[in-house]
Amino acid sequence: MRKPSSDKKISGQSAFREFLRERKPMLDDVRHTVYLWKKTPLALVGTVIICLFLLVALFAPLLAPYSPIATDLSRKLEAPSAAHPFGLDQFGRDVLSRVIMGTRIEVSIIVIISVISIVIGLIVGIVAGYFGGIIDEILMRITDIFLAFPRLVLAMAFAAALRPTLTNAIIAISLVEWTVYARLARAEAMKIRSQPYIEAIRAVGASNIKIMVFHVLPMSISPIIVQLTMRMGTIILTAASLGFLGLGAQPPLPEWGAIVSDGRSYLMNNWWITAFPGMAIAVTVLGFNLLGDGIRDILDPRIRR
Amino acid sequence: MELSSFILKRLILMVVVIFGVLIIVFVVTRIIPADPVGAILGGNAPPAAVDAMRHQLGLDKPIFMQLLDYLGGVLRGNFGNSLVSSRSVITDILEYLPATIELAISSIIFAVLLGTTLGLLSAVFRNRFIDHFSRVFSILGISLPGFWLGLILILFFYYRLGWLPSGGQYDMFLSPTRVTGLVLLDSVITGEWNVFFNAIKHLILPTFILGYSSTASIARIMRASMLDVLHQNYIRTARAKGLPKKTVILRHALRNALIPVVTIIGLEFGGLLSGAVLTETIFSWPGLGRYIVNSLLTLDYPAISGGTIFIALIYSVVNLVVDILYAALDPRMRA
Amino acid sequence: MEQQRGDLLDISGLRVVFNTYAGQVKALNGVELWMNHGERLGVVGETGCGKSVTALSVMRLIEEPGEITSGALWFEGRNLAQLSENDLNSIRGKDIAMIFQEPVAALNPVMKVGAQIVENIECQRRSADAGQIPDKRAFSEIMRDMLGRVGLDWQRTENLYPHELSGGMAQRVMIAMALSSKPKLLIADEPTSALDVTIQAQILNLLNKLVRETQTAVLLITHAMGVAAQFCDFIAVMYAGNVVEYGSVQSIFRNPLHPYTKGLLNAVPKIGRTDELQSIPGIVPDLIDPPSGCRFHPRCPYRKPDCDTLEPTLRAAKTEPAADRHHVACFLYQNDA
Repeated sequence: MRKPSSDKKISGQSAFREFLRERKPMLDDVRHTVYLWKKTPLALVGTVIICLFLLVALFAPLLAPYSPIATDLSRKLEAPSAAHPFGLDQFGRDVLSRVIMGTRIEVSIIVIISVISIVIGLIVGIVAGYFGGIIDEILMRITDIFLAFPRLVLAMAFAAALRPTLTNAIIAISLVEWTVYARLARAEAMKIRSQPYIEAIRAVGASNIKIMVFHVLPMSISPIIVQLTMRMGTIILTAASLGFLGLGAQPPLPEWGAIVSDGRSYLMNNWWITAFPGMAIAVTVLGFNLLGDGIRDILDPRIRR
Repeated sequence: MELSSFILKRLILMVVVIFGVLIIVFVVTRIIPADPVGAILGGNAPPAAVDAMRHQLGLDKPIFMQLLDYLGGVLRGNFGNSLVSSRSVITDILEYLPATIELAISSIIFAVLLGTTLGLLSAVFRNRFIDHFSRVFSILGISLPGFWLGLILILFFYYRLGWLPSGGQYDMFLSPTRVTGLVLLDSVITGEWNVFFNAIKHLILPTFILGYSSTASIARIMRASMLDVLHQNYIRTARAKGLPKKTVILRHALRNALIPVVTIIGLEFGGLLSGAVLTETIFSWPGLGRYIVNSLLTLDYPAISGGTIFIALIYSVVNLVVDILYAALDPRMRA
Repeated sequence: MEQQRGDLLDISGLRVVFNTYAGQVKALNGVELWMNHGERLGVVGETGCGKSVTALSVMRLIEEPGEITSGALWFEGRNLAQLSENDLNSIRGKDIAMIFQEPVAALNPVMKVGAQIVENIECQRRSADAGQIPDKRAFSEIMRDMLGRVGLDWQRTENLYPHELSGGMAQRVMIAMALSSKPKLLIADEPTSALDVTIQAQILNLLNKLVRETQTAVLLITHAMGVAAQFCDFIAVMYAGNVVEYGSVQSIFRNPLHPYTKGLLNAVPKIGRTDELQSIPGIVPDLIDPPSGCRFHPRCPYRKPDCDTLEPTLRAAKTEPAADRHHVACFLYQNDA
């Protein structure tokens, strides 16, 4: 008779030691990464900007000094002052409060678009890369078709056809963004598919779906996360562009691009309505780009060496 | 693979993709909109008028027949008539297209010249002032929203300083002769030099705004590519020959470093066409981008589908040309 | 100027470091080497001992993050270590030419090979007869002649791109290019290591023939004792950034002095040899934190008490004839240490 409990104990202990030994290079790696992070000041600046951006979004209602939609026509177009650092817009709304509340809209845009486009991209990419052949051919040609349009133009067409609202702008951008992740996931899936251990798992009788979900998917995640940080800036710019063109968020929603568009007619004498929300877009996108650059540099084997 | 069979393969692929583009545009303009007729006639049109309009647009036919009608029309170069101007869409497009081409070409020239120069200097003088400057300039280029920067520049150069015009292709009081539609070219052909210089002045801000982010991307790729090339063995060989640094860089490093940049230029062209939509809107530039935006805002479906298909077509052709250029530049690709 | 030990090249006290993330790699630790016109010197050692770094230092081609921290590189009476980039360029390619380990990678992938050779000829001529109009036709003639001399058909070769060449052909092109300017010294950095064995022999024979005709001195970098013995007049054995033994091929093979050289020779298989091949116990040291004293002492079977504190210098072995120039850096032969 075997005694499974003691067996398990021994194997459990040695497994833990094994685990530590296996993870040693990984721990060293993490330490190295932190070191490189500190040596890349721009990545640090990016990190700080993004943290601030997220904090502002989290505490927006507390930080915003006034209501973002309360109008006061008697004080419309007032220049920046101590009470209203970013001035007042054409309806007497506080521009600073609108910019602050806008962070929440931008965060939700980024999160929802990222989730939708990554899910679509992963499904298309993994299925194409894993099965290869005719399925791959068809899915990749579909991807090519989406890539045949300049991104913004296709997003505009989708947004207009669906009727311009914030939600539809988000859907429209997601329908354009997924191609980025599909191509990445496909490349990863193709790499993993040919690994011997996948053969072994298949020989044991695992189904294709199981292999894709439990073996291919987890391996595709990290390159996608890296790409995601680099795409976030672009996502904000695209959403703001749609807002600016009137094909995204509609007034009185304080979406940054839409506010810039509001201020356009008052540019000559009331520059602050345009200038400040645009600056908010610029700084946030800059933060994401610095962060994305930093992450890419840190993961670059040529620099890691 | 021979260059010619490579081109043939890419051409076939392009035809397939363009067919897909037509289907997508059909879906976007005919199927997704819940109520195109309502959009045209307004919400409370009489039922008879709605039916008549449905018949006129062919919306009473089965969807498959509609697709065939549409594809047949597109193949004959007929995108239908604009719902707003009632002119033929293709006439409109051909009228607006030259302005976009002029702006796109001047922007891409600006971006390629400045971007490669900055990237080259950045790599050669790594970690020196020019490198830091170029990297800051580049990261701002891909971060600043062009539509906003454009407005800020109009504020300064038009409203405050009065040095440059705020928009349009040329001043309203001028009426240049139209030959090709490209104002610069036309004015040279007809010798209308006042128009030429006026148009140049109008081109400066839009070119900078449209070209800036491409400049930035090209500079970044160029820098990375150049740094990579400078570490290659053949650069060491070139230095071992005793060639001066300038020759090593310009003759040996530059051409190799440009190869990845060429691919990026193709991709950037897509960004450029996207940017043209915004730039043309800000600078009241009478081009295809502004035409599409106006059509989208007025739900002018035939115009939307015509404009989008044209943009996709231009983009695909440019990418094909870039791929061929890439193959021509790198002898390894031809093998 | 100090007396030059060799009338062509004299490297003395050469130190090179590489500043990396992990720390400063002390790649060369006071290298001593010298050679006369027309001589062939083989530099032998394991991977990472600094032989390639020595070769690149002579050309002053050490790049960031590496730098020469001290030492002199006398070449015909001029210290290369202190020349400006401009002065160096009048020596590089002209007086000193170099061929490399991976010949295909050493050629510019987007230039035809003929043009790359012509460029070298043109560059040397331009500095020689400045002001005159270069005669491109004459340069092409020289290029074609050189291709012929390395055994290539110029009509087939001159318009090829490097990726269309085999490794052996590419090395022939490199040799044609290097010798086209009739250099006084040819540095060959592992010229055959990346090639097939049969091609290796062909290339070495070709090199042998060409440099004998032109009386070109050769500094041959190799990890194969046999290649050095066959090709060279003198050998320098390097270990962990130092030349540990230097002398004529005969004296080194007949009477190896340094324990490391002895170990190396025991590791070379020979026909008719019946005893077992010996390997040197221990591993190549980490040059970020090299062993104190003699860098070989942790692996040395004849270690003396002072070997881990004092650094031996390269000194003449008094028992040998002067013509053999036999030198060794080891306390076993230096009684005053």
